[in-house]
Order: sequence, then structure tokens, then C-alpha cells
Amino acid sequence: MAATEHASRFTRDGFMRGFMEGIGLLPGMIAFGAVFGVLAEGVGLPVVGATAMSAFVFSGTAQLLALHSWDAPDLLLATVVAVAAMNARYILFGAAIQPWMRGVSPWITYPSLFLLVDPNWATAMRERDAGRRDIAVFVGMGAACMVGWLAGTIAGAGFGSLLGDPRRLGLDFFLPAFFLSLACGFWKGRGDLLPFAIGAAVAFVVDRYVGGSWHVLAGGLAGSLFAAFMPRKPKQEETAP
Amino acid sequence: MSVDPSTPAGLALIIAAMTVTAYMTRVAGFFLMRFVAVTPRVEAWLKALPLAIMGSILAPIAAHGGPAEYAGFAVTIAVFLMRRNDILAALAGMGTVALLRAAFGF
Repeated sequence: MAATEHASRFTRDGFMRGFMEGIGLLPGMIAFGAVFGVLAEGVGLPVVGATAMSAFVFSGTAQLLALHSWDAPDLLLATVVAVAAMNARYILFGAAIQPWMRGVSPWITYPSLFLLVDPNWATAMRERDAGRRDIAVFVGMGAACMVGWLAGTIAGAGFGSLLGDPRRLGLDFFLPAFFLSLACGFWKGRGDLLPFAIGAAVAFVVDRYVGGSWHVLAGGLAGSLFAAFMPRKPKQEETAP
Repeated sequence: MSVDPSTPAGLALIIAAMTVTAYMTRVAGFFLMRFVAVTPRVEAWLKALPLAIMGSILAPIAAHGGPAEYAGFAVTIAVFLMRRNDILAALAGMGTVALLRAAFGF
């Protein structure tokens, strides 16, 4: 982590940079939004309802799981549990992003966090590692994602039946592939293998026996805490014969 | 408590409950970290979080995947290493999966 002494900032330039970078995500966001829109229309949500849900909840996996339980006897509880399970990883995301945002007024940070999604969080972590601390980059990219997400939801809920099977187009694979390429970018060396592998192993087991998206919380905690408590090797050991 | 999602009031209540829950998950970790000093150990934890989370997201997908998904992962990594562009790599992986599913019905 590059050490930066100056506090975080929030600039118009940063917002534009994040937004422009987020435009590259639009095809994926629109496609994902359209998948949700189609399924929302399928369970009988009006276009306005689907759009409102996308605007306020802003979480694809959580909204899809909520639709999945749309005929549950206790729908209110089922949808809240769906959102909590799918978004549990955001608790960790928020913890990781907090030091990066230190120094910016809570009047800016708390509304900004409304736009916390996977791609702009990963981008914030990349900026953090590069020693840049303009949190408007995070907000700009989140805003671009929101635009794509809403456009996709409206298109899917309105004209989704024209699209056909989203799985056939590989749309379900966009997010995993995006995460994989981010992981490649984060990879710095052999020391990264253990947090990644322990996270993966724990997630595999939890996914198999628990479900929801708890596997992300469990694996993320296990892999990163291992890294934090791993006995530190003295530097010269690496050059020893 | 039973709520009827086919009425505007019922749907609004459900969306409101989902909204509050989603926002709480987004700010809970952020809020709690205000009370944590960033010691070297905490820094090591936060630094390792992204990769641990990415491993956690990918493992079940890899476990449930078939030949199309594995080829998609391979193409994603190859394109990323060649071009260093994460969105391009993800689109290439997605295209690979779509092609293989269309060609072989995986």
C-alpha cells in the first residue's frame, strides 16, 4: 500500500474520471439490469416498481434473490434476508474503504456509500494501492453503474421478452469474468496466494452447505484474517540460499 | 406479517425494507472502522481483503462451472495479461462462454 500523507479529496475531475471509466461497464450493467427487469416482469412487478427497486436497492444479486422468493409466505422477511445475505460482503467492502476515505466529511462519505457496488469498490482499492485518494472517482463510477443498471432494468421490464434467454448470451458470466481480471490485476506475487486460496476454499465449503452469499463474507474474512495474523518472515530470509 | 406485493402500498413497503437493509450493509463496516486504528496488522488485513473476497466469489462459480466456464476463465486471464484491461478481458471471457454454449450446448 503506497503511503500517502495528504487527506482524501472529492473533485469534479475525479468524478468525471470515474464516470468515464464506468462507461466501459455499461454493456455489462445494462445486460445485468435487463436480466433483472425481465425476471421482475415475470413475477408481475410493474415497470415503475422494478425501476424503483433498482434505484433504491441497487444490488443485482440481492434483487434477483428477492424475486426468487416472491411467492414466500412471509415476503417482507424473505426479501430483507435476501438483501442481507447477498450484500453481506459490502460490510467488508465498507471496512476496507474507510481508511481511504478518512478526512472527507461524513456529509459526503455517507451519501457516497449509497453507490457502493462491486466495480467501484474494486476501483477504489486500485486507487488506494496507487496512492491516489480522490473519492469522487468512486462516486463517478458508481453513478455510471447506476445509469446502466436503471437503463437495463427499464429495458428488461418493458421489452424483455424480445431478448430471449440471457444465459445463452453468456451474460451471467460477465461479473465472474470481471472479478477474475480484477484479481489478476491485484496479484503482486506469491504472498497473495494464501489469502486468495484460503478465501476460495472456505467459500467453496460455505457455499455448498449454507447458501445465500455468506460464502463471500466467510471466505473474505478467513483469507484476509489469515494474512493479517500470518507470522511475518524477516526480509533477509528471501535472499538466503 | 403478510404483505401483498400486488398493491402499491405493499410493494412500496417491501422496497423500503430492502432499501434500508441494503444501505445498512454499505455503511456498517465503514462506520465500525471509524473506531479502529490502522495498525500494521489491520493494514495487512485490509490489504489482503480484495484478493480473499475475489477468491471467495470465484470458487463456487468455478465449482459449478463446466467446460464453457473454464474456457471463459482461461480466455479472461489471457486477455488480461496481454492487454491489462479488465473490462475487455471480462467481455472476451463472456463472449467465449456464449460461443461455446451456442456451439456445444454446455
